[in-house]
Parts: sequence; C-alpha cells; structure tokens
Amino acid sequence: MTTVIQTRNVSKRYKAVAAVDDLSIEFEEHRIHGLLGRNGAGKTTLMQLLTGQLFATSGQISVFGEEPVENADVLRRVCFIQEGQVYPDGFTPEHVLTVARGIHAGWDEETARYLVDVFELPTDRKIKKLSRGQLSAIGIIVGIASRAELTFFDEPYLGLDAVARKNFYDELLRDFSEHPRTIVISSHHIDEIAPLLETVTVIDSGKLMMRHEVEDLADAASSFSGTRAAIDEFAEYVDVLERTDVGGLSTIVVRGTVPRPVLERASELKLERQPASLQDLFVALTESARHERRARQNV
Amino acid sequence: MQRTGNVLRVHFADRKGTFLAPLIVLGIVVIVIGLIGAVATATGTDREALWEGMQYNGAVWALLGMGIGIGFATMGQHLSFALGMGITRREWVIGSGLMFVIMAASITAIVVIGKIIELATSGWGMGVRMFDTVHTGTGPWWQTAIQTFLIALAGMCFCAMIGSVWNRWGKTGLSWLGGVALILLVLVFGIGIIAPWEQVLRLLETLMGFGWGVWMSVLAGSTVVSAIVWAILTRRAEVR
Repeated sequence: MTTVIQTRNVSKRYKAVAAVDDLSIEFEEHRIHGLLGRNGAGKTTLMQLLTGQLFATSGQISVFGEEPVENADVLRRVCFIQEGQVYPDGFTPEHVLTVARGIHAGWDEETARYLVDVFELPTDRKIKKLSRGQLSAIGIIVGIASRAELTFFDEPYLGLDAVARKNFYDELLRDFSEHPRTIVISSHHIDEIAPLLETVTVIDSGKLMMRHEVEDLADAASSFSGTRAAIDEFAEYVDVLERTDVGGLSTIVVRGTVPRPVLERASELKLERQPASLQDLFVALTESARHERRARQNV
Repeated sequence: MQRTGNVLRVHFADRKGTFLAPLIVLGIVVIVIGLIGAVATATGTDREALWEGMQYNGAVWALLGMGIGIGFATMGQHLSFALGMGITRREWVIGSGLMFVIMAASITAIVVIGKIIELATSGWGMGVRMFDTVHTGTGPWWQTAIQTFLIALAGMCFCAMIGSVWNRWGKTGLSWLGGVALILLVLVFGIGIIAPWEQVLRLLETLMGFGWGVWMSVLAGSTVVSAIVWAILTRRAEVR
C-alpha cells in the first residue's frame, strides 16, 4: 500500500512548548485514518504542518513523496478543513463554495448541492450570522465535495447535533466508498467515529502514543472487571493502563495481548473480560500518560 | 496562471462587498457634500470662496482609506482561508498584488471620472468639490490618476506588510513595529523642538518645494519597498 504521508522526527516548538514533539508517523493511501488526542495534544498543529500552513522546527515531512510547504503540486491535491476556520468578512457559504469549486479540480457540484440540502445550510446568509453547527457544515460540504486526493478534517462536527453528525458519517462513508481517497479525521467523538476508521493514531503532548489498525484493536487492549481483591492480584501480572474502583468492584484496562496462562488465572479469579472500546483505550492511554508526566514532575 | 486566478477568486468571490461597498461609501460622501453645497447656496456663501476652500476637502479619503482595510484583510482574514484551500504563499502574494492593482485602478477610475464631472459642472453646480482636491491633486486629470493610484496602492501594500508582520511574529512583531514608529516620531518631533525654528522652517520649505514628480517618486518608492517587504515576510508567514 502506497504511503501518502510520512513524517520523520518532526517537531514544532513555540519557545519552551513542543506542540509536536519528535513525531514519526505514516498514513497510507485510500484509507480513512483517525487522529485522536486530547485538547492541545497537537492534532491541529500536525495537520497544519502536513498542509504547509506551519513550518516544522525540525524533522522531515513528505506528502505524496514531496515536502508540502510552498509546493503547489502537492497542495493542489489536498483539502484541509480546519477547526475554527476564519472566513473573510461578508462571505456567505455560497462564496466559500464558489471559491472551492474553482480551486479543487475534483469538485463535484451535484454532491455539494445535495449536501447543502442534507445539512439544510442557508447558502446566502452571512457566515458571521451562522450557528457553530452551520459553520461546521460548510467545512464538511467542502471537504466531501472537493474529492481531493488527501482530505484533512480537523474536528469537523463541532456544534452539529446527533442527527447532523450521523449524516456526516453516512455521507462521508458513502462518498468514500464511491470515490476512494485518503482521509485523515481528528475527533473527540471517538466511539461515534470509530466505525469509519481503518487506522487509529493517538497523540498526546505532541508525541505518538499509539498507531493501530482498527481491526487489530482487540489485541491492543482489554478490559477486566471483578472484585477489588481479585483485580488487585490480577493487576500484578499485566500492564495496567487504567483502573476504576466502584464500591467493591474494580475494572482495569490492560495494554497489549494477555498471555494464555494469565488469561487462565483471570478465569480462576472469575474476572469478566471484554475487548476495550476505542474510547476506553484512548482514555486509558492519555490518562496513563498524564499520570506518568505528573510523576516525573514530582520526582 | 490558473492558480493566480484562484487567488483572485478568493478576493472577488464577494463581488457585492468588494465593488458595491466603495460605491455605497462614495454615494454617502456625495450626499453629504451635496448637502453642504445646498446649505452654502441657500445661505448665499460666495461660490468662489467655497470652491477655493474646498480644495482641502478630505472626503476622498473615504475611498482612499479602503486600501487600508483591503491590505489588512488580505493578510488577516483571507490568507488563512486561502492556505486552507491549498494556495501557496507565493501564489497568494502574486494574486493579491494583482488584486491590489485592480482595486487601486478601480478607485482611481472613480476619482478621475468624479474630477472630470466636478470640473465640467463647476463643482456639481454648487461650487463644491471632493475629487479635485490637494489630496488627489488639483493638476491635470492624469496627475490625479497617478497620485490616486499610488496612494491607494501604497495603502494596500503598507497595510499588507504590517499584516505580514503579525502573521510572522504575532503581537511581539507588532510591538516592535510600534516601538520603532514611536522612536521615529520622537526623533522627528525632538529635532523639531530642539533645532532653531528658522532651520525647521527652512527644512519644511525645502520639502514643500519639491515638485509633484519628486513626491510621486517617494510615494512609488515607498510602495515598492512595502510590497517587497510584504512578499519576503509572507514567504515564511504562518497562519494565526
């Protein structure tokens, strides 16, 4: 499978803060990739670096085999739907669609008009008078209708209600299946978006925490529940990412594949085992990283 | 060429806002000047004195000042949108520079046509004027055309340059720029206060004595410098 995006030890620093820290990742073509992380994890900065909006402090970035910064050959194949995009004063959604139609070679006007109907977007109203959800709808319409070879959606659904979010997932998947291309989505609604994704990349404090095929996630982490005493003993055999105690019951999220003898011990302790959901894994990983950072600070 | 067209598409997508706004501003200004003329006529004000006095009328700045807004918006609002659409900074500078020229030419056309009508009707039939003024030149129409074009273009390039300082270094950059401007002002006024009045007056006389061509060269030079600095800074400007 061809690699569309490749970064090698990329960092973006703002004085003492590293928004992206020594990050090496790859995204393959014709797949939907999830880029997950907490607020301030570096997702938007990474996307801005990949689309040449920001300059990396160090490291190498390759998009379609070339450095994206100031590279018209690369950027003409890319569409970036940015969270909180600022639109020029006086613009209406129709103006945005007019510009996008002229810029993106693969633009599909029929799809754009269909999506305007789906999201009930008032195309002639000034953008500054639109709701947050309607603003998100503009980005979603441009992102899907542009049919760019590489599309970045940065938190594309902010302000959208549950119905509109479902419409987004459905329409993106429908269009993607008819016109395969590479899509990178950052999101907070992890379990909602999980069925769309083929790979998941989790970053925290600008660093790569995890990169997995979604279908292999069952091997990435599992959740065990049981009595507190049983969990106390079991926790000694496994790599615990997160633990929750409620009354006499406890649940732990365990990293990686659990060896057969340890699983047998779990059975003996009458622990209930479930594959960790993407949301559980994400929360466990980021919380674990936070505790480690805090512990380091206290040393 | 098509990529430059994309930049123009970003700037001119909102045609009403881009082209109608100057005409609305102009309309309001014309109404106000017309009212002044009507009041002056009704009160029997000497028409020649009114014509003479109104050569300093600064109403035309309502049009020329639009260049300031265009320059700032180019870097403050449109750049982020354009980069998100896959336009490069180089394409942005070339396309926006072309837009500046088109807008300065449009403003110039309005001012020159206004001046020709103004002179032909002896001040709109009331002895008032707003286009044939010292700000855009009281000489022949072609001088007004050059002066207006350069003022409008200089405003856009200068403000785009300040905008690029913001994109490049944020508040810190603007603070430095403000600091340098303040130091220059203090120096100029300081010299004005410390130096003997005769010398200051002689210097002012010398400056005022420069011909129209010299001043236009200074204006053209400032525009070119602003445009070059803007282009250089934008090459490494980041989205804010």
